[in-house]
Amino acid sequence: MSLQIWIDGLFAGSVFAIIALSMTIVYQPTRIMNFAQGEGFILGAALGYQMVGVWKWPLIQSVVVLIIAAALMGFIMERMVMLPVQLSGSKFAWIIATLAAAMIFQSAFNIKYVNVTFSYFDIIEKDISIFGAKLSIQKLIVILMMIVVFIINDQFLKRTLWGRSIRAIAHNPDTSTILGIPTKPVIKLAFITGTIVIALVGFLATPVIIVAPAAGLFFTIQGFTAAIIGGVGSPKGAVVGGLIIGILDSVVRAWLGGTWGLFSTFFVLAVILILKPNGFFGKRVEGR
Amino acid sequence: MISTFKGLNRLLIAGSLLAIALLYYFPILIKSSSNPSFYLQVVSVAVCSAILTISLNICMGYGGLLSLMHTGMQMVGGYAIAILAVKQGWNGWLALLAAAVIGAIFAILVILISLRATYLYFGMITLAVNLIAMEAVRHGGELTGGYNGLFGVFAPGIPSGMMSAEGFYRVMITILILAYVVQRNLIFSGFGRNTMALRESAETATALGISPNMHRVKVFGVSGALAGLAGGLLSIQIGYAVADIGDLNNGLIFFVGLFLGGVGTLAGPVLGVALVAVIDFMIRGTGQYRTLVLGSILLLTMIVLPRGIVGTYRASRFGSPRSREVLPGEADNYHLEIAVKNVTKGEVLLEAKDVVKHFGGVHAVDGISVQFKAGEVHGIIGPNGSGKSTLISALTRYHELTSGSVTLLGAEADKKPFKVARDGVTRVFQIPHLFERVSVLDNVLTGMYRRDKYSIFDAIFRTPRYLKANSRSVAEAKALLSLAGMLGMEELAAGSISHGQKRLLEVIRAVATEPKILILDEPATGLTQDEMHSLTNLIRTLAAGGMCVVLIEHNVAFLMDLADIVTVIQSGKVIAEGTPKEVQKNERVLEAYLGNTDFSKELA
Amino acid sequence: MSDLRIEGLTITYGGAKALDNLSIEVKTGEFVALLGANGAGKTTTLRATSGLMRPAAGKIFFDGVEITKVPGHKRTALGIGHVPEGRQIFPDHSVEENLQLGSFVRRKHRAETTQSLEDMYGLFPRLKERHKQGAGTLSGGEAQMLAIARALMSRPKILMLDEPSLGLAPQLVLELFKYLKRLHAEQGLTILLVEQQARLALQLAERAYILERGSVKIEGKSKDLINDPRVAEAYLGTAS
Repeated sequence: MSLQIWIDGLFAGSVFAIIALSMTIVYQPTRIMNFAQGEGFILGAALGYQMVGVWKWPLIQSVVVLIIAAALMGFIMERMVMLPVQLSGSKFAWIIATLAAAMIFQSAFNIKYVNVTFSYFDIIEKDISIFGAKLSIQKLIVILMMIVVFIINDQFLKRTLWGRSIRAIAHNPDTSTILGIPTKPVIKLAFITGTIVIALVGFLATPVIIVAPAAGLFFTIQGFTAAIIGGVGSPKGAVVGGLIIGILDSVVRAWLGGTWGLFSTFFVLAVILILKPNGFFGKRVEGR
Repeated sequence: MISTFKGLNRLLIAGSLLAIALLYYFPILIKSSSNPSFYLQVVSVAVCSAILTISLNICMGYGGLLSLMHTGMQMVGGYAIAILAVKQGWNGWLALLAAAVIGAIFAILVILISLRATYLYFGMITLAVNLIAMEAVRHGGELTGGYNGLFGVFAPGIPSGMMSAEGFYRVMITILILAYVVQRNLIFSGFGRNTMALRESAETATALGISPNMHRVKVFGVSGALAGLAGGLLSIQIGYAVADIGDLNNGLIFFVGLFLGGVGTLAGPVLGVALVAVIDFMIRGTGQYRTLVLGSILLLTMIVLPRGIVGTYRASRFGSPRSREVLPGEADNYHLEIAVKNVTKGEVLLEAKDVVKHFGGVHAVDGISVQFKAGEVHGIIGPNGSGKSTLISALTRYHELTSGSVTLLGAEADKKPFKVARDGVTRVFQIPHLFERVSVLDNVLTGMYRRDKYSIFDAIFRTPRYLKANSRSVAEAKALLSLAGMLGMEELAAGSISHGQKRLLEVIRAVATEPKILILDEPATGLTQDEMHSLTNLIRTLAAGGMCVVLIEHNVAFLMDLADIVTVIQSGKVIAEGTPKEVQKNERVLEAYLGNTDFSKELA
Repeated sequence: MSDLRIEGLTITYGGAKALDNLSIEVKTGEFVALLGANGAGKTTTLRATSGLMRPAAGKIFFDGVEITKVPGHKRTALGIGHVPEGRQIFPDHSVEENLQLGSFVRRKHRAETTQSLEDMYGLFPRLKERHKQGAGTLSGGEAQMLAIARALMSRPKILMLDEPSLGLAPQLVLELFKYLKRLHAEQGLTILLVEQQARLALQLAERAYILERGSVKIEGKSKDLINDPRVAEAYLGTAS
């Protein structure tokens, strides 16, 4: 098997890992798997197309605007999801609310971008060669981003007071409250950072991956799959799960042909859920 | 007030009949319009959606099973029709039936592989299965027609001119009504009660002897059959089967309909889908704005009407049932002889020997031996955290034993908790586990399901066997309610009665399972004097009938004149056993409760 | 000032009245015990004071200000410390992280937090030995100390403890109660102690309320209550 396949797998895996990480960020304080998360990816792709591709803005300016826009989206998303969840007594409220939010964002993208596939630029078109296999600088950046996001997230959760508070809320919201930790702002923060992270990977990965305005749910599902294989709520699991499905997809594609990639992903998901119902690093999940 | 209530209900029934009539004659009503076939198509597709939403309601609303594969089931049903009727040349009706069967098999296969998965993960498995199914269909080659799908799916009999489009439309309306009736009959039967029991608390359902896994398979299977049927109808209606039917995006309408109408209500799915269809029709032609509008409606519904239309109505004072007046002498009709079969008083029913249960390093139960005898009220007391509840969970097999043995009726107790329940040990939990959204009567009937010897099909078709079993059970349930002084409250939602009545109802529900041993975990907490009195009487009656009633209590005062024997537990060990009087005077017991350690010197 | 006053508090839970028109008062510098059998409403009282449960009726005052509607996390900042039932330490956080979370409301005062940390390690040397260890590895007694120290980190004016002796060996209970007594005596900390072991609590507290069915059944000075047969009755019923 050629090295190229593995490198492509590593890239795809990094994308899925970052998506799964952004979901984990939201999941930690809320116990919600956000079906609208993938729309953040589309936001990154769409704004990249708009700012870099159409308006020809400089890169730095585009990234800054993207971060602001993503923060805004995260803020809105938090209200769209948490308000119904808090008001509705249903055990399924979170899934319906996030699904509805996903649909709303998706149709907004569809309305704005009719028949557009987001492709705009290569940050750096140069390839570097590793033992004959090609790795574009852009793919390298995504892989590095995955590592950086993981480390920053990990360090934030472990080393800062706010990070530790998030872990505390994830463990026991009531006890966190009596220690004076405000749970609601933390949840807002989680939605905002989660959306910024996924929007950034959408922005960076899109020129390599073909992204359509309606593809948000696809990325959500890939992220879910990664998170579930690794274990919901575990950052380490998100990375491991993401890399597994990315590399598996790439290898199976090369081996059996295009369509088997997706099959293999969901097949692995099914097998893991049957053998290890809580994923590799996950804890038992109960109904909210 | 009562009359307004009745009047309103009559109005609702009349309205429903009118709606059915309108639906039936809809093709005639639109005949003179500019585009009758278009209107017919719109309503027909909505009818399919309604059937599918009923299916979703059964598994999600009543069964608590998060399914994200209903669009996939719909797609599978469509392909079943397309392949069997069009390619294989089966009779159309037979193919439609096959679509339902294939839908059921598909659902059952999925739930069988995912029984271990908890709620969120189960949802994710269904999502993955949905995607796999769509991919499989897209790459199914000639069989499924690949990305293009299969075309030329016609209604049974239409090409040969035996049935008109209107005729098939009426068939669909009939099937929708049948689906509604199936839903209703199922929900009101033992099957439905068990389903809701499982939704509200798998633990309690198990305590009543329901096998959670087996029942989940059945619920999902029924749901799959309806979804397959709806899919088959849809493909006939639109004339093709294609993988995109399975797209989760297409499922939004079911979720919106279900939540708008009311999750876990009978009429909710139909009403919700009808409303969505109307809205959908009004915004037709706006393309992508459709999803935007539907999504916004869904979010708004959850914020403004969290229970949906029907759910809100049911919770309102108009829609919620009231207690009825008990006729004079009515209670005499319900006389119930409590007599536990095949036991003699004083016989040892359950014997635990050296039971040990450790959690990690915590010795929750540390070598307890105890005997429960027929006809006695056996109290178990001990300070907080002494291991009482753990002991009970160990005896009823909710926890695996670290060591020791449990003998039930002379044989080793089964390892599965629901089997222990079926063998005659029923427990009532400390935290109320009533099926709150279900009526008082249905709560009691849930306890009786083991006596119901009818199948799902008996329930759906209301066969004589079902009717006979049902009326017998209802009479018995009323007799039990009468015993606790709760006659007349049958129709009330269990969630609406007082706390004390809830506790009593739980005890009655447990008694309905005809246990030999009844374990009550702090039944007296929060009861008024009157309710306490009813409970005391009830327990005495049961014990007199040969039942062993095990009472876990903190309150020895309550146990005083009730218990024949009291076992006192501290730190996972028995520290005293005897009559309540003996126990109350036991110095070790006083110490255990009040802490006799004198630290006054050290603390001074 | 750290007066806590609860007036006519009623809390319903699943249709049952967990608290029924309960009124108690803890004055600045007092050590008060809240006693009663299981289900009498002790834990509910503490949870309501911390803002974890919403009352159906009644008012809660702290420092003379009504706090009934103040959100839970802000009450901590006002000076209400709570050691919850079952300790509820964060097992995946280290001992020191648990303590730092305790001073969340004082996060802007770094020097103060460091000082508090030192104070706690001085008070509970065993926690210092294990400060890097995961809190999940602590023994029951150590976990209880951590829970108390964590609550103290916010420098509360009143400390509420929910059954701190539960599951501890008698020697550890003694040790724990000595700490509490020292905290009260040396630092003038106001304490509201919920205990099952009534006799023990009465040896420690100055005053006590005995709850039954969500309201106060008996109240009085500890030295009067310690031999009062009504106390045993509240737990074990009338021995006839």
